[in-house]
Amino acid sequence: MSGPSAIEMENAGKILDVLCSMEGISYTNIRGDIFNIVGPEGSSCILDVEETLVCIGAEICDIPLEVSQQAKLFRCLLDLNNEAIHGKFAINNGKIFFKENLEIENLDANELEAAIGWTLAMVLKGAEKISDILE
Amino acid sequence: MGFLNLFKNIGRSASAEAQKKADAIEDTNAVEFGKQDLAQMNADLRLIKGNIGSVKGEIAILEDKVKDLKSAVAKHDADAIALSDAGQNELAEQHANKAATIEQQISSLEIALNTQREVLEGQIKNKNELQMSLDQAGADLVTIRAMTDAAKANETLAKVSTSSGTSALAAFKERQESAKKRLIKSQALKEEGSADSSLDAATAAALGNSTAKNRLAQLKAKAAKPE
Repeated sequence: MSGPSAIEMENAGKILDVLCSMEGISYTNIRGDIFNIVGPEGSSCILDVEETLVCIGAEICDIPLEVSQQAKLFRCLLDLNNEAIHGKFAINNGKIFFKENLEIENLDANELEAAIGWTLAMVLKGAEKISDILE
Repeated sequence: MGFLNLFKNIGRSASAEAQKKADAIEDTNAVEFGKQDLAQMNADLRLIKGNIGSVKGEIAILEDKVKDLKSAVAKHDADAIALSDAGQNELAEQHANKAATIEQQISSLEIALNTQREVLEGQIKNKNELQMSLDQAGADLVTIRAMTDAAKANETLAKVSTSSGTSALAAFKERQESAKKRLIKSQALKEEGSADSSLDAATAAALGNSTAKNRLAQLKAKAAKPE
């Protein structure tokens, strides 16, 4: 992971202003351009500031090895994606993530707050539903 | 490397780790190549716009010349008619000859003018096509940059999640487990409390009975005692 560029740091400053003004969340700056955000219900997500995008995401769990569980799980994820206003559940490298990308150009603070709030809620909901399936 | 090829590179999927690394390098390069392509196209566009300016200048000069020569022809024609009317036929003929010579110059200038106009038309067409390509390339570059950033963010998310060691599901289960423990603990406390209270009640009842017995004994003793 290479260090943040000057543009990324400048963008991160703007994002930090929004995080500062948000109610009900706590955050830690993992690196200049990467934040760990924790919501009121205990769910958390990572916010990564790039040159053109703000990427919000969280790892939900590993994809189970059992095919029958996979089928149920993927169906559940598609159902959750259908409910989602912001972001989507995605699979990458054998893991399930919830992700949302926002373009930085003309990014509105309300839009970012909504995306963070929605991500924290969906991470919680996803974990709960997946927990039921995997039990 | 053409823009389309660069775009295809972005979408290439690979399973092997080495291939992924190579793709990551290419993706990073794709943005740089895209920027270079844009810079080159902008330079070409500036050149064409400069050429258009030169050709327009040539056309203006030729048009002025044609205009001047046409005025000269009109003047010679008028003089020739006036002289002819005055019976100065020789002079009139000289003016008519001059006008004819100038008209030949005009026609060759008009051929040159038409050629320059065709050149201008071609240059404007080239400029418009290049401008369209430039706009498309600019839009492609924005997409490539966004896709590269998204890929970088995916990588970051995977690394940060792995390093923190807790997935949302694990955290959820932990919270659920601790909630269960709290519930069990509070139930145990409640049961303990209820056991205590039943013991207290039994004790109170027992004590209450003995007090009554004692009091009865005292009353009997008092009644038996002589005044």
